[in-house]
Amino acid sequence: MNTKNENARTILLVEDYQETRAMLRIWLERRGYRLVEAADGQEAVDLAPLAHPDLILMDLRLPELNGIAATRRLRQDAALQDIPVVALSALDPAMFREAALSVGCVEYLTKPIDLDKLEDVLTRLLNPTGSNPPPVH
Amino acid sequence: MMNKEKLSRAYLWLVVSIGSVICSYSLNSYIMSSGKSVDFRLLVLTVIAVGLGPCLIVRIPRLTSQITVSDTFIFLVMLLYGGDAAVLLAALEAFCSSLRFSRKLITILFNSAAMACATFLTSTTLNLTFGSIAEIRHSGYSSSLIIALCLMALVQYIANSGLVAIGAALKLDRPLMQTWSKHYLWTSVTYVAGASAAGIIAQLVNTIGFYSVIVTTPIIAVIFLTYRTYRENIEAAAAQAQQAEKHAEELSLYIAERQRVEKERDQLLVREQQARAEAEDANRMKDEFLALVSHELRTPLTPILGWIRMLRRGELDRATSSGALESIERAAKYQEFIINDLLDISRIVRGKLNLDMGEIYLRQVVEASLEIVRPAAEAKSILISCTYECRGVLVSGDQGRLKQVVWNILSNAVKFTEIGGRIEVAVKIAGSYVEISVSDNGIGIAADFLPHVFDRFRQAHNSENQALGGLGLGLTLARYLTEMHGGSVHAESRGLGEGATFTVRLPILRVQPDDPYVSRELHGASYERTFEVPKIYAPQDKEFQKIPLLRNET
Repeated sequence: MNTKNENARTILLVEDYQETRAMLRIWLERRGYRLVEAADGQEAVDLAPLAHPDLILMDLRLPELNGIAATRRLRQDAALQDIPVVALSALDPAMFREAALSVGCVEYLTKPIDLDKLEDVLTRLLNPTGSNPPPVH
Repeated sequence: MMNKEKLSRAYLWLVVSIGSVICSYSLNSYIMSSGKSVDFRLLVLTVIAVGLGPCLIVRIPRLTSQITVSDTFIFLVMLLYGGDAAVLLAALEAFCSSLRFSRKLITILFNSAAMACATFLTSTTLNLTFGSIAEIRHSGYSSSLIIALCLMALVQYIANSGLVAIGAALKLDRPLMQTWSKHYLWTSVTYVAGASAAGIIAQLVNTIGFYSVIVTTPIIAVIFLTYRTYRENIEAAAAQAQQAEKHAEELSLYIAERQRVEKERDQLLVREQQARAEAEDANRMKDEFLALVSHELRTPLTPILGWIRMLRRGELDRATSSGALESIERAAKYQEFIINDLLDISRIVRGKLNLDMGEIYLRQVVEASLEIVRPAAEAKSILISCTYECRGVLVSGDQGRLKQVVWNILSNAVKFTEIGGRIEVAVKIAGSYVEISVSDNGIGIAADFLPHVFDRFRQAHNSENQALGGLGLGLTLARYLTEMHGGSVHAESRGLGEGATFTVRLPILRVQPDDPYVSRELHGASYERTFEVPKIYAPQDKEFQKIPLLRNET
């Protein structure tokens, strides 16, 4: 357990709906990820430099600062630029996918989330071409 | 006015009388000087003057005066036969030409008399100046002839136009000089031309003989034609000016009409654009609302389906499983709440919402609503205090629906109040109504949005600032439901960041002091109850959120 935790990848989960956050927390932790949570966009922007996650799961419709604006801000920070951001949203992708990708999201997953698909995306983004994961800070 | 008229008539008759005297005197004098026989040539001149004179009258356009050739004959007779003959001819000629434009005896007599007077004055002036008129005639083309002709024209002009102008001024009750300059100034042409023509003819008669008068006819004709051309030119110019004026008027009317049409079209365009903008706005709001409905219905499905999947695969331990089931239930209930709001609004819009009316203690409604929002308020560490300034208030209504009203307003306050904020609920009587006011120290409402706060499909937050929290129909429903109960709702806010107060007014059915519900809890006239929540349990508290992060960092 300890060894696993030391090598665990950190994911910043930005989600305002408590139930979704609770479900994903359990699901992600079961898959060996370490989790940092933010309930709105501003919190995500504040937390990201401190937590320096390996990946960010970003809801789009959020209080304070929405997911698109938050992603744009994160992209402006040179230290955070390489962190992949995956948009998770119940908003119509026909209307928001383009906007999300244009500010730097690498994927757009529609809610209700297909967990198999999310797992594929996480595996692909966090273990590129089967190479060893880089040591955790 | 009567005096003026009398004065005018008296003047006319005075001139006529003087004229008569002058004519009588001249006739007498002429007969005395020429004996019984009348010069045949004078008769010819008289016939020509009387017969031709009135035919050769040119009226000056837009003036009452006229230009005639008769003066030529009068002056000629004066030069050839002396003042008496001229006076008689003048009177006769004026009499005949007046007949052409007047039927009134006094006018005809007056014109005739005025002419006689003027001619008499002229001949007297000439006699006094030059001794005798015959002298002038025989002096040849000397300077005295020129002076005599000028004097003749001047005196005749001043005397005749003066006499007539006085008459006209008295009749019209206008200043003399104004009348004279307006109507008679231009007739001077007649006299000057007449005098010069008469001078030339008289000289011709002297040298060639009387029948040279016939030779001079072209001169008279030229004078007449000059008058006529002059008049025609003036008339043509006047007609052109009038035409131009008419055109200008038509043009300005046309321009005004065009401007009016253009303005109307602009207004129409503006109205059309406004209508289109409103329609587009309404359409956009509906589209946004539909997108919101879709978002709100999809959102709870993520935890529901996620938990179910983990439960099915046996991934969860016992404790987590029961937490998962609770989470599923909350998500499903949230979805049910969204659907209920949608159904309610749809029923209200179609007029299909029925109320289950009964007698209700208002306090019961408020207390039940407070219980519903309590968990949400606890989650944000919001302190809610409730003050009753009255007791035993009964209203007529649907208990469930009234609860919905108060609860919607309360949950709106919770939603827009910051963590650790404060909400005050007050219930009091205002006339025949009971007022429930909900004040918060939250984000407040911008002045421009305040009028739309209860509108359907409208939410104040923009795309940069969206929170999960239903369809934004709560206040709309609260308004509809309150109005269905004969009440009203209104919102107040001093602006963004200034908090807001929502007030619900409902008609009081009656007040029952022995309210069993109240008597159990009420202590004194005022009752305060607060929910105080320990901060540490608030899952959305920002401080709480930072705990796992700090752990991870260390």
